[in-house]
Amino acid sequence: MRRYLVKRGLQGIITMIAVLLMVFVAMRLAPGDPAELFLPEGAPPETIQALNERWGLRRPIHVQLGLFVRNVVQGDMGESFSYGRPVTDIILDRLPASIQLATAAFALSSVVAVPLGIMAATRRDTWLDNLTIGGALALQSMPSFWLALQLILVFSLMLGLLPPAGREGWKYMVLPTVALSAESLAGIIRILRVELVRVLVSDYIRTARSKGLGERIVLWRHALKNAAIPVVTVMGLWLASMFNGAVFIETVFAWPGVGRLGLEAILNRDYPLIQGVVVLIAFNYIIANILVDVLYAYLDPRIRLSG
Amino acid sequence: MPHIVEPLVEMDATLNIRGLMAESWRLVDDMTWEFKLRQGVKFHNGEDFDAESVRFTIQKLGAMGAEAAWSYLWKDLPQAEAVDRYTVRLKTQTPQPALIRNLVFYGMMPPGAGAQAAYDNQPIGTGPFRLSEWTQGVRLVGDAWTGYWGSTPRLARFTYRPIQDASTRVAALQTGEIDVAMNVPPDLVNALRRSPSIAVLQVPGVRLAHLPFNFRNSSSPISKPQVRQAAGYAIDGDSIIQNILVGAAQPLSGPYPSIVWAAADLGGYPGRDIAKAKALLTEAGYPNGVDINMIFTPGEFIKSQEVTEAIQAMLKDAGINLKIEPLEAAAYSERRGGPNWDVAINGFSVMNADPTFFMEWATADSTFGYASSAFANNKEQVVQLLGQAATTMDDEKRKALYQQAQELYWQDVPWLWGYTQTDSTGFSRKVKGMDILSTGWLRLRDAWLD
Repeated sequence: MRRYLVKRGLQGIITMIAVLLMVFVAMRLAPGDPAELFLPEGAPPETIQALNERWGLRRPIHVQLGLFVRNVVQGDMGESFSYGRPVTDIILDRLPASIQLATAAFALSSVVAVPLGIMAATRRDTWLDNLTIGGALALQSMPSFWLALQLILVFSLMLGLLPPAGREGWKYMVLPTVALSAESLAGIIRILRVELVRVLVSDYIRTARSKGLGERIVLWRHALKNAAIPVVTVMGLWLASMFNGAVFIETVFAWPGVGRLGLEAILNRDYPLIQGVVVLIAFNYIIANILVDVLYAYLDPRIRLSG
Repeated sequence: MPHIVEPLVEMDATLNIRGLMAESWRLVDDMTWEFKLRQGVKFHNGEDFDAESVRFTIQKLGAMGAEAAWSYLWKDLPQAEAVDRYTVRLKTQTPQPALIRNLVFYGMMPPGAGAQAAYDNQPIGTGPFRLSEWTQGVRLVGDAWTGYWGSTPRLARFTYRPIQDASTRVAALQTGEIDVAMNVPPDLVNALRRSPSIAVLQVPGVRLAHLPFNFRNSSSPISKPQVRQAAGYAIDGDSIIQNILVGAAQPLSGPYPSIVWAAADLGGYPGRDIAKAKALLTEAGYPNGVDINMIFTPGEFIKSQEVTEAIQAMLKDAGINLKIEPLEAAAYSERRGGPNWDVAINGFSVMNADPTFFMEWATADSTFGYASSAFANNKEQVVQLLGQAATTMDDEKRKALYQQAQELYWQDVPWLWGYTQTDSTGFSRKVKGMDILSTGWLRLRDAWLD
């Protein structure tokens, strides 16, 4: 198990380096001049040139890369062009909001979706199953920004129950959490149901039942553990993507997370900030994948033993 | 930010310059300005405001170079020297009549605190509010400062929060979550007006929205003046302003927003006359219509997509096929420097309300290629007049030069169409005494909540 984790960790580091290099090169190949985009419309070419020089963007690309690698190794992600502050500080300002929202949305979707998925699978083809799956499908089909606007319309403007924008207290969390959890909630219900239905008709479940085990033990000990593997994979990825911020949700609810920060960085060609956000995203996905792998190992002895 | 740090001069609601930290000023010579400073003013950290603070602020600006906000508005950044404790001179290397207006952007800093790196995140000024919390892009909180040189603000605290999405911003105002919503898009203004507790103030803005022609390519149909004129006759500007912009725009009467002090009233666009447009096209040698191409990027001005599509439909009636090529901002700005487009899209805010910068920029080789165009008739005269105006210190003479330049530029039909944006600010009727400038800035110095 330990060797398995070390191996996973090393793979993660290699992935991270590859991602960083790719972003570094891709950004500099993409059209657009950071200084021109930073300065207000109308800045003359000399000013643009001067600013690019100040940011070190007129040096040969291999020199820029060398400096970048040296700084990253020393834990320095550089200073954002548009904010004029260290990238790590800016991200740390925004990270708590993202973590808070992601944790709440993930908790909400898991707590609601898992029982509903199990219920739908065990009562297959009843009206309860149809209702749950139909509802999940509808929820998954709604674009998140649209859902977000409807939530504001109903709960803020019509009912006056919840504030529409900002992060000034717990009340402010409710609408973004619901909006952000909608898609994963629906997704988990549907995958869990499909997997569980598949497992529940398999031979070993029939064997378990024929041994005289109670339906509850069959479901919880035998079926769920096997059905869980694809669900865990999907949930892990959802968790990572939630931690990386949700651009639409953050925009609509003015939630100060890293999603919008990343989008703005890209639009402004704020290279250091893009790199910072990408490191965070890569880190989150790698951690989520390792977590998922560990869970696999727990769920499936074949993985654990071949490690 | 003017709530926390205060500049030497500020603009009033109609964008005239008046003293703030400077009580008066005069020209010693064309390149030397002398300012008499307000006395007995203290910074939030207890330091005295005097000539040394001005010298330090201007020096810091120079050290920041291109990174300083609005640095491109300066031909060269001034040097400051103290004459006595409350008199300071700003010297430039060339005559810069716009200096006084450019100063509105720079709040005075205390030399002691301003020299520290932490200052950038914790600005200290002389303003009516002192910074109590600032997380960039999240929230800025200012508390009334009892040591203010003017009367202590009646508002105990203000919180500034960016809410990018306009409908959320408006919803936040409607639910009472916020008291003022800046930059309300025109189509939401009426919804806000229906609410009895909310007022909307609309002021003529300084933001120009326009579709400039490319003056680089002599083989393009638009190199013929009749084609450019024909396009103008095809457009029903009133309809666009009423139906798409819901009235929140002013038709152009020349290249400047009317609120800019030297703006010339040149009558604007002619109004729709399809027969005239077709006749002009025939005269230009295109009796069967003509294709022109446009590069487009979103977000240059409000409703730019809808406005552009309406223009496309209107041009079609006159036989002009406008092919629109949408581009992402960065790709767009790269394309714009070359000859392979006929019409572009541009939004520009004349934030210092001075004519010096924008005309020079709009006629430059690097933007739309006017100054070196092979087919712009008046380009030499325009360039010459602009050069002369830029170093003329007398405002009346300068105004005359700019009006002449605008007229000649306008005769060359440089833009397909354009308008000036009206700025709409929504606020709760509880808010009293707030100033709203045409630049979109708010001033809370004398505001209070009823």
